[in-house]
Amino acid sequence: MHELSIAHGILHNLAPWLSAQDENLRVVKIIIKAGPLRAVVPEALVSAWEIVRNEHIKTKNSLLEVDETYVKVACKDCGENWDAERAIFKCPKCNSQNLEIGGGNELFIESIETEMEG
Amino acid sequence: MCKECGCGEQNEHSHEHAKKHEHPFEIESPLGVDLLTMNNRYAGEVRDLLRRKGCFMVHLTSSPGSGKTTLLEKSVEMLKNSIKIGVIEGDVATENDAERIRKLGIPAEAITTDGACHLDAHSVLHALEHLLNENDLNVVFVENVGNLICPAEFYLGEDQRVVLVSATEGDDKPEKYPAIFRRADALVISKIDLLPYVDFNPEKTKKLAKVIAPRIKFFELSAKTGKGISEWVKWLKSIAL
Repeated sequence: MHELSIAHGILHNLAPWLSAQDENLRVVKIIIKAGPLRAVVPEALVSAWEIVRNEHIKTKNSLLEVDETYVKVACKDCGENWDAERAIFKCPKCNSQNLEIGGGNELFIESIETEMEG
Repeated sequence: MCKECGCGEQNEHSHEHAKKHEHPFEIESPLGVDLLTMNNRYAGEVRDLLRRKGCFMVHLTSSPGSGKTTLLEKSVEMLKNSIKIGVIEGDVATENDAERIRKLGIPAEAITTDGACHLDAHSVLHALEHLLNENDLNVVFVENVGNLICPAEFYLGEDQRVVLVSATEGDDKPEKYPAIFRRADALVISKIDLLPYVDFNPEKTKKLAKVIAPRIKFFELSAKTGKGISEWVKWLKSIAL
């Protein structure tokens, strides 16, 4: 359940910005960009956020969404390249294991939706 | 959560390290900032402390039962006359592993995570401060909680990350747990004395690891019989001295 630590990371990254906002501002929704190589289970992160969001009045009722990215894989033998949902170890076209794997390491807040209370 | 530093620890603990009560970091916008920035900042402090003390850190991580502590015991036995070694032992419960190391006359700090599935840089920083305050060391080994998923995400400030896979596990581990292998500097295939009795193909594991981590180094050894240990020890000496 390292998603709980990551959920705390969301609040840590938000806190300085939140304290600079109007006291009536409330966060409605947060979208997290997460790459397949960061070992984050989206459902677990959403559940963890439902606990952690209560630690700040401005995030109390906020929803979390996870926007999953892709791993970029290129075959060095046949030149095929594609976006994969997880790391791939064999080229689906020529079966080569001579692959180049890039990206998929994203883990950050992509966007925040807010509203004013009252 | 600790209110002062934001770590996961429930109990009160001291904050010897710098910038005690300030907000951990100031950021203009929370967008696009890595969610483990806090951990990585503590990892930076671990690195600063290591460099100040002229010390090198090796992080051992694997599934439970791959032989991390046994490999440590063997390494200590072979190195303790030429290198000053310290150990940080992470475990969910008990100090059993730290006790095993202390029996060899080596200073060991235990981090008991009380259920947490990984070490983070903050807890390692505390343990390292204690260890280096009392001892002059060349190498500190950190043994993580046995787990191939969660520790992958938490950089501890180490110089080398070593992942162990034992011959009694599946030889497709790099394919199943790519995140931890992606960030590994070396792969140790352990318990090779058992290879005649199991269907484990080391070449397959190495090939898969190379796909996800092209520069990864390999060691095949048995801490029990000593086979392959000399290459491992030679490597440790070359990076530590």
